[in-house]
Amino acid sequence: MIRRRHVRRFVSLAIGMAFAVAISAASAATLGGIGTRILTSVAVNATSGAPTVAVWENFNAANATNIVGTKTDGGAKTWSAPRCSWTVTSNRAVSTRADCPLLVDSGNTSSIADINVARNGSTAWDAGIVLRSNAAATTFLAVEYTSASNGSVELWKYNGSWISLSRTTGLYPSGVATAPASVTLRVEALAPVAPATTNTVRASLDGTPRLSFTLTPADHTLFAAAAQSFVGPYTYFDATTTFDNFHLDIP
Amino acid sequence: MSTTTPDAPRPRRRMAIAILAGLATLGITQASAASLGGITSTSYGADVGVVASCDTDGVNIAYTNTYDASLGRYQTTTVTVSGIAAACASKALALTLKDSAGAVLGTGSVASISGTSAAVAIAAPGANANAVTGAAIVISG
Repeated sequence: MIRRRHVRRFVSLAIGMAFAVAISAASAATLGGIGTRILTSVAVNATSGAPTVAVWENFNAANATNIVGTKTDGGAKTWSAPRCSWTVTSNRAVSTRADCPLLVDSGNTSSIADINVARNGSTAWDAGIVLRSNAAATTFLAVEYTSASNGSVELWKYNGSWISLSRTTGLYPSGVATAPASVTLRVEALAPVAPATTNTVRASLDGTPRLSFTLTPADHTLFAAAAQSFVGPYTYFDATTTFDNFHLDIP
Repeated sequence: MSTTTPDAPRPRRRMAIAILAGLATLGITQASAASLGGITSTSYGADVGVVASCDTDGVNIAYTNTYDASLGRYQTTTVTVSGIAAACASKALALTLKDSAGAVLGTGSVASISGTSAAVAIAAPGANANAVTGAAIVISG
């Protein structure tokens, strides 16, 4: 009788402890894999600094579509071409003749213009961006990407006659045939901050700065007049070059 | 009979003691879990352990913005996180771009930080660059 009672007492305690251990073990198993972890959380407030795109155009339309008179894809500007016409080919813009600007009125003379220029296999090209032009395209600045001198970027002014302001040559020392099929030409012509009276025109190809020129006060006065707010792609002597992805940015 | 009557309730008492011992042990376990801090029943085994920070002086970020011709705007496509403490090397980094309302604009991550900076590619098509006002960064591992 005593032995049976001892056995019962032992069994009761054993069950109780087993219950406790079981619960503990279950909890430990649920927690599982406890160890040191590294956790660092940081919040950083910073805007991207990206410019706002005021006007943009993809030239996506059926071949032979006349661009003149159409609205831009973004910015609701109307394309004009004072002395020629432009059409779409393979979703790119192409002029129908030489010395042909395609313009939109940006609304101000301070702008950053960006466009993709394709030479389409040609080794004789001269095309770029017209900026600070009047509506008739008789007074303007032009940044041209050309095949001259083994590839060059040139800044011209036109006001009844052509005057070269600046150029960078020898872009392709091994010859213009080694030039990329297309480049992105970017022209910055931002208004000077008062009391400055001149400003600088900068051009880059595929993000690489290629030209920088500060206008004289006289040229600044001429080309920064309120009516000189037109900008757009331009071909000087070839009708082979095509253009795509034009946009005007506000810094 | 006289010897068995007083002993009659003993098995129940012993069982009660044993159960109390078990509950006490369970209580200790729960107390240990509570000492880890902020653990709920749903996070058992998933978010536990000693948490330490490998970078305590903050980081810097720089954006790469790319023009997206189909959207007609600039998209933030890469964020470079610099000034990361060396102690965070080989840890994973997750980054979330947000707008002024706190809404998520884009996310990216690197599996293993190499050195003291990390270039985080934002999942295509990137984030609207003009809307980005900041980033939340978590380094873990």
